[in-house]
Amino acid sequence: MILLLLVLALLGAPLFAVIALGALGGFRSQELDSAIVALEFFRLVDMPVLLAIPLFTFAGYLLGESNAPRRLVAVSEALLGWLPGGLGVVTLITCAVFTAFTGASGVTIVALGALLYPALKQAGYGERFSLGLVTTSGSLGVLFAPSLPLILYGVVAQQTASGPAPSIDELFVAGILPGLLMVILLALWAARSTRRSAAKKIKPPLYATLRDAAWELPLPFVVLGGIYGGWLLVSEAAVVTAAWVLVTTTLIKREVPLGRLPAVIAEAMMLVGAIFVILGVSLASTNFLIDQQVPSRLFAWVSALIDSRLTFLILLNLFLLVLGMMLDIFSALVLIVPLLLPVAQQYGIHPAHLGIVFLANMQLGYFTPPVGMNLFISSFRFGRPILEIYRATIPFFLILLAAVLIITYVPLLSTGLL
Amino acid sequence: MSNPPHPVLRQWLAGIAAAFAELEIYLLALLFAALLALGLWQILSRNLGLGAAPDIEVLIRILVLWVALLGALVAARRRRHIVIDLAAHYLPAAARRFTAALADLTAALASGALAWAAFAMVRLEIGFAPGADLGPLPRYVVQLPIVIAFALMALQYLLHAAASLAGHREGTA
Repeated sequence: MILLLLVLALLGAPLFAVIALGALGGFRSQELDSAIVALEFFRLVDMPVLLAIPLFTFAGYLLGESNAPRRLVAVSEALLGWLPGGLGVVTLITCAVFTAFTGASGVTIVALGALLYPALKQAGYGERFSLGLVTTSGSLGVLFAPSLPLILYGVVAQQTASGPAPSIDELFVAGILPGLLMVILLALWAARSTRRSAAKKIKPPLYATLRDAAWELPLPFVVLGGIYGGWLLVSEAAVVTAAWVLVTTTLIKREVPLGRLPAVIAEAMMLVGAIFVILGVSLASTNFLIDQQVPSRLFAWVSALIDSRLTFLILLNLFLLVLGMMLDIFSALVLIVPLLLPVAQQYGIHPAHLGIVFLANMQLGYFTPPVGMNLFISSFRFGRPILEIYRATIPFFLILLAAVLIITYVPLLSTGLL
Repeated sequence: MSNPPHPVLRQWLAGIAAAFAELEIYLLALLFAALLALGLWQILSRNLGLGAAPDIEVLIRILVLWVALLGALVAARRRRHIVIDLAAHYLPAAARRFTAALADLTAALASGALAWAAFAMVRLEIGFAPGADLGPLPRYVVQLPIVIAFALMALQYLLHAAASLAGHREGTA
């Protein structure tokens, strides 16, 4: 049955369907009522933090519809354009911020790539460097608040951790240093490449760009300041963000007509619906697996083969890298974390550290050849052959691989600020 | 062999499908607007010292579930549910038609089974705890949209499967 489901998944059956059939089949094999699966699905209504997901997703999609990406690029250029590798660094920062708000769904490459790829080439960066940078930056930012994958990891960890699980605001803090490490390493590479390609520096006027982006710039401070100032819960920060973006894009800037809103809501809620049905049926499949003591049996099996934490982490990296190539980040989170977290905790790995390692690997998997999703999106978006995209991303892949290894083997990066 | 539907009937059916799709979008927008409004009201009432409103907190959680179900329904119509879809990159076009139909039938089967499981849950709820409430609503009323959403998704995927077999694959995977 597992093999059949795997084949169906590879042939393109929606993942929620595959997981649901697995859960329904599992409960049926134990002669239990199928209503259990629905009752597990219905547990979604008991998770107040889930409110954050539709609201942040809506805010991200609405920002993508407006001219906010263009203003974000202009502000970053004005502030950081003087740095060596200025526009490269601008690309990294703007993509990271945009992905943090929109989730790593490929929308960053589509929304920002159109602006940044020609700008990079115009500024004198090489074709290959520009392609590689834009493709790589498409998933940068999943470790920064308020990224949806971080929130979803928090939700799943709270359901499955043995012992106290990290809260979502703790996960937001845990992602800061590892996320910065990735941006800094890539920025250094961009600076080095700039020297070689003698890219021109373009610096728009600071005051004008700041004034133009005056309605978007306070947003990260409202979200993070509200959460860490103790005024807002994570879900409330999402409400404020959605309302803020709605008012500024439709009423103040008037860049998105009110009549367009239903379509934007539908577009954003399709992603939310797709994530939630997978999460709902995964609650049932996880319940079945725990009932069958799969995590403890998995740990017994793994611990017989691997006795050190270090070896476990090495194999974990390999496993997650392959997983990131095959599965999107949301499905991987709800499917694998319930099995992985109890095993990792037995090896003494902090749940927040595991979360960051998991997401960092997934981020890398997005552009790991041959099947990383962003490679295909980039190839389609910029009309370049897939092999050219593979070649263009290799140096960036190696740099982020080094970052992922550092994040994995230096847990303090993830837990030091907690 | 059966004859293709009469053009007038076909036009009529297409009109119903389009109206239904539009209804989904506007209902989704309405529920989302309610969600956002209640979220704002909750923050204001908490911070302005108007006192906690437990019913609003529960209503928000219910709306999140309903919005997600409606989003999932729209995603099913547009074939936007999350898939691995490795085969699509490597299979020839003719084979893809059949794998697409198989994938759609799998989704229809799973959605139908989930609708049935949710129906069993509602029956249990009404049978054993007819007076149980979730905030301002009876629990079975909150659960009923799960039955409806998955039943409609099953129907939608059956239509997709028929379209795939006929070689009219619309939407994106």
